Amino acid sequence: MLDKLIKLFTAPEFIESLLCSAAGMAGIFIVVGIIILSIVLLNKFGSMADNKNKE
Amino acid sequence: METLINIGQKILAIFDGTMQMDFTSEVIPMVVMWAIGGLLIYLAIAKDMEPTLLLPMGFGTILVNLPLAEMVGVISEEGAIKILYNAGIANELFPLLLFIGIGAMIDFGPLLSNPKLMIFGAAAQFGIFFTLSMATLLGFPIKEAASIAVIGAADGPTSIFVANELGSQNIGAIIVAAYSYMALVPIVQPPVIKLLTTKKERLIRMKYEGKAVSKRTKILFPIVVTVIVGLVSQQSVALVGFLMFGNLIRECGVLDSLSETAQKVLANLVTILLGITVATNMNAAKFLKWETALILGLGLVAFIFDTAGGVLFAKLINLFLPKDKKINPMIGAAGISAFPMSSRVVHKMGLEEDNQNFLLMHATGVNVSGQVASVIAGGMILNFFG
Repeated sequence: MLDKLIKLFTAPEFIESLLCSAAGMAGIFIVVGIIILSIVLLNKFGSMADNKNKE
Repeated sequence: METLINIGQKILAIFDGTMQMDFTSEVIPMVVMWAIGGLLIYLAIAKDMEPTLLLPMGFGTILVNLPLAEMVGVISEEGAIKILYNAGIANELFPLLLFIGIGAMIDFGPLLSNPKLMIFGAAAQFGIFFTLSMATLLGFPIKEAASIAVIGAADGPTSIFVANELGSQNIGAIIVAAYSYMALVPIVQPPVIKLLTTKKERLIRMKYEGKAVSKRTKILFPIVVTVIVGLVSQQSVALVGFLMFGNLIRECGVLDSLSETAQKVLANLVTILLGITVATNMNAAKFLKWETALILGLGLVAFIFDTAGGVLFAKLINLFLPKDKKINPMIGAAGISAFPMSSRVVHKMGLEEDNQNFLLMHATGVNVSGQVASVIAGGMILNFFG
């Protein structure tokens, strides 16, 4: 039983899926982080331009 | 007398194909599929569960499981449904066209006024990757496991696009699971949220500082996101590009009639064709197998762990925030892409705990970010396995 479990959890496909999962989550956080940063910049420049227009 | 025999023979000939069917291997599966088709139609009409897709799909299921459907041209290469399948699903056109409509429907305002919320949209994709590992553990080949995992994107078009791109053999079951659980969000999410949060956490009030978002920002947002995703995650670019194109039509302010067409006519038209066409994969031989039950179970796992991922991440962030800036961890659950159900569920739960706690705008911001993040997650899966 234990042997079977060890075999299951050390199967190359399972290891690959774990690695891809870790890389996938990291990838999503990186892309989302860049998007957040760009929204912050867009908001900043947007409000600066609006203030200029008001002046 | 001879004429009567002739008529009798002609009547029998009408049922010839049906009468030649083997009872156990053909008739029973056919009847079971009719029952499944009937169930989908019932859920769509009586329970209002994603009726726009489940109803055409239910009818399509009955249609493609009629006796000798393949021979009489329903799903043969020259048959109407197969032609539609090749024209819209096999080349992923329908999900992409549907994304134009979805993009035109979404107001990213709540997200743009508080962009930090987008991080919860990313966290709530955890269920996809957890399910990927679980499906592999259950013995599914890795590409099939990845197709199943994308049910956790809680986004029908993304599931169809990715499963099709990865050549999944279980696309029918994947689509049924994706749309069914999206409709079941009000039943699936609350127990998970309650299990992972304390009453004190659910009572946390969040101030809504509705910062005005300039029109320029709203117009530039879809363009910038498309460029970023195009540079960083190329496989997501078709999905994100069409979603953002729809949003640009909405926000530009000079294409109101196109925006309205995309939101209503285009989305409805594609949904009708998509629903009946995906049913091609709902024939007995492809659907009635033990993997289908496993896929439905894994779909539920994906939704549960998406919710858990969002909630737990919000709790983690709370550890580093000052007392007066704490986040109500329930909004993390809205990071799954089921829009707008998920944000409504969170808002309702907040009101149940405290009738003056209005979480809707925060939850909506997280929910629309979940829409973008789920598409990016689909792209990540394609990056790895496509």
